[in-house]
Amino acid sequence: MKVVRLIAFFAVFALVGAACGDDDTDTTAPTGGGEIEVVWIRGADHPEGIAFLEVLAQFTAETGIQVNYQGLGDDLPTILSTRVQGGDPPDVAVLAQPGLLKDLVARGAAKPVSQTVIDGMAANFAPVWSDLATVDGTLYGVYFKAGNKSLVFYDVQVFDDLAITPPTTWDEWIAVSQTLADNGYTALAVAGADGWTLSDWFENVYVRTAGQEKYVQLTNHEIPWTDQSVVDALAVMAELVANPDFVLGGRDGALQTNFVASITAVFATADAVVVEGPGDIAGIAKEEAGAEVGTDLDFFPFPSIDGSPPAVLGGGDVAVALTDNPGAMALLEFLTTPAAVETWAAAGGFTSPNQNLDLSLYPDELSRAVAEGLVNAEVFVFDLSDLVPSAFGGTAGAGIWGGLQNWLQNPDNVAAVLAQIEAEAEAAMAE
Amino acid sequence: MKRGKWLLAAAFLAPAIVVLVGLVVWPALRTIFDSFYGPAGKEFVGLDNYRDMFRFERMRIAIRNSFIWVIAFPFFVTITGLILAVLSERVRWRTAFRLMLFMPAAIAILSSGIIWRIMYEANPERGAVNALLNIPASMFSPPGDLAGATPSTDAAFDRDGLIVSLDVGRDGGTVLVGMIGIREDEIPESAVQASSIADSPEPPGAGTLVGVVWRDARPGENERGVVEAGEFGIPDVVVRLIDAQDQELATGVTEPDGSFRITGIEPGAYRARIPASEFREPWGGITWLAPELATMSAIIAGIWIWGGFALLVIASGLASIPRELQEAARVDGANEWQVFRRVTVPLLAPVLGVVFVTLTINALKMFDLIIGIAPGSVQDEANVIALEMWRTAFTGLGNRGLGSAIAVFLFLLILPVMIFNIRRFRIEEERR
Repeated sequence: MKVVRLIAFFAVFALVGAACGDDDTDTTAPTGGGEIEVVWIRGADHPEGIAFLEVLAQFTAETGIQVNYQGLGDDLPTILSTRVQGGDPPDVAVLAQPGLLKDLVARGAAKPVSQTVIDGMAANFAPVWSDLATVDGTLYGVYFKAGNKSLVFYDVQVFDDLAITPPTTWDEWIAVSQTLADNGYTALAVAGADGWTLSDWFENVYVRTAGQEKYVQLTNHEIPWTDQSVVDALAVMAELVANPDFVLGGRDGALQTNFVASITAVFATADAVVVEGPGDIAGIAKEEAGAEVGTDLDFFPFPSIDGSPPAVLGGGDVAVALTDNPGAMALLEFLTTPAAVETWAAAGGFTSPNQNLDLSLYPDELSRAVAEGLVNAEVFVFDLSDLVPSAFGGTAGAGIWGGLQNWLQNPDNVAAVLAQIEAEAEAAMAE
Repeated sequence: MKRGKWLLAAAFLAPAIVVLVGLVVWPALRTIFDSFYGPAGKEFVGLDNYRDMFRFERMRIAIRNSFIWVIAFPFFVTITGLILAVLSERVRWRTAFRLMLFMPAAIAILSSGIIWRIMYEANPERGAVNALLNIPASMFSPPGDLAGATPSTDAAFDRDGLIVSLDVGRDGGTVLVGMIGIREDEIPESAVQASSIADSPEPPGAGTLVGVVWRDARPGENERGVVEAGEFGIPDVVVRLIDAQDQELATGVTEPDGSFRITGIEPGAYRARIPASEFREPWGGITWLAPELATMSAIIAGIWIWGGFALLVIASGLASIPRELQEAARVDGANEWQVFRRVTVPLLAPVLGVVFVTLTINALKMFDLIIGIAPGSVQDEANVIALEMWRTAFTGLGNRGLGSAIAVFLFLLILPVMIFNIRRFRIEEERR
């Protein structure tokens, strides 16, 4: 029987071990400066992970606190939540999902920040960034990295040939699209096969037509998706996105086009001229088509609609302390200073919402402009689909994504589409 | 049995039993158990999930598509395999040929799906399938010079082309036909600044019609319907003058500056027509992954993936058929088709059966191919039961109960095929 038991024991051990992952690797010895464990999605060999490790190395150099860094990949929410449940959280977690911060606060796992962090945030960041990390009046984290999804990229050559100046208002954008169409160009590539690109479009339009207050209400489902403001925003959005004269392949073609294809359609095969999306587009256009910022590719901020103030839709990474280890709070304090991210900003591929960070540090015009947009935004809203439960905001073919695809298939059917989205929102929020 | 022997047997069996119970039996039982519970596996709901699943449009489409898969996929793959096996028998480089056809089976199915998704792209410039079809398409209906253009001046399309109404007075008449929606590089090289002849204060003269067909667009500011500096004429456009009875009276062809001149016409009301062939669009390609076509397109990709497998199994079956029977049939005067139909196929029946049943099971549990091949916007329409099970259980709201019920339903569908397979297996074992 011994053998059987031994084998059974090992089998069970293997299963349990796989489920728990490494849980006893760090024993924090508070000798010297101490040691903290920091987790983020990026692996230590990922370019962003490498850059973040440099930030952490600088932190160690200044404070003497050692950092044990773990890049957890996309499974971070799952692993983190398991470790919190198991009573062994890392000292600091860097989260990309604001919903996860709320979740950690609700479970009592996130630690409120020190007064030094509060002061640092007030001195270096626009209030919106503290608001984003505040739950029930208490500040829990530091947004030290942010992205901008309110950018519109275009083929410089075509704009120059036709003497088009980048539009600053929605009406100008429509006029530009008409000029492009008159001259035989397809004005827009829309990646409708991926639902999230459509939700980015919608959010950018909605925050401008309905305003930030309504945007937040819609995010929290305080107003239904059948609200007139949503209907109106879709009607505005349809003027460009659902206009077969402007969109590559018409609406059906858009629904077959994925994100990367929408970029190559503009910068590689020149089938269309303009594409809306996150800052990543510049990198993808360079990789896929060798497009250089300035000469081949340029961008303008998502235009204002009916005089709406400059608004940025985006995402960000927030550092949160999950233990009372003093090193954890020291890292958060460090991250509020502009000095912490200077090298990262200079290395490229990074933008900070820190308004005291010298903009001239950014290596290229694109990241400088993205950062400028972030720092100067009068309105900054988080990508709505990242804020709602992922069942509703992050699932292919369902919720917001699927709903907007149905809308693009048949834009006259707004009422039915919104009723469907509202039904799914209710189901998801009830969870 | 002695205690020691029993222990030894147990020690040898234990790993297999642990794996079997841990990875097959327990999850299966747990799935059945979960299927009677609600979304989070907490409240008992009885058979509700089994009733509810048929209420969802998505699931109904999935069932319909799985049915299509089961009918079409095993049949076409087996036929393809059989034809290829029999034909490749005669090929000198048989092994290389078969190896090549088998290669798709060595690619991960998800990757195959992605490969086909790219091959199916609608734009013939990108999708390989449409690029191939584009060759005959562009041969038989070449795109016109004005493809994609629309008029910027008063004109309307009908079945035969673009129609412009005009009047010819005693001093002749003029007509302007502005075109937008064509790129500058799409008009012929010979084009020059559009003619201002129609704006000239001098009338063209009795019995004369002059007109300009031009590209009514230029960089910067631009007024519609007016020939401006920087706007080009469109050369070589055929303009037909027709009367009220649709009789063609005369034909003009535009010069490099877009102007044309037709003489010898009586005063009166006429229409000018630019024939439809000038506007014919280049072939846009078939949207293979459109909602209505996606399942069919996926099945074609499936044939590509599994055809090699069918070929290989059938070919090995073919190799074991005694040659004498075929020879005897030939000596008796049977032609090749009769030999194939009456001798080869019946002898191959058991092998064909194995292939067919294996493929039927594959069709029922089709999953990764669909994920790879169907664009996100078409996943609902290309859905199959196995995919719907995963989508219900693990994506969106993650309804574990309903997902488990779908899994059990799928299992029940596969069960008869499995039983059939096992029974045939036994019969064959006994024959030996």
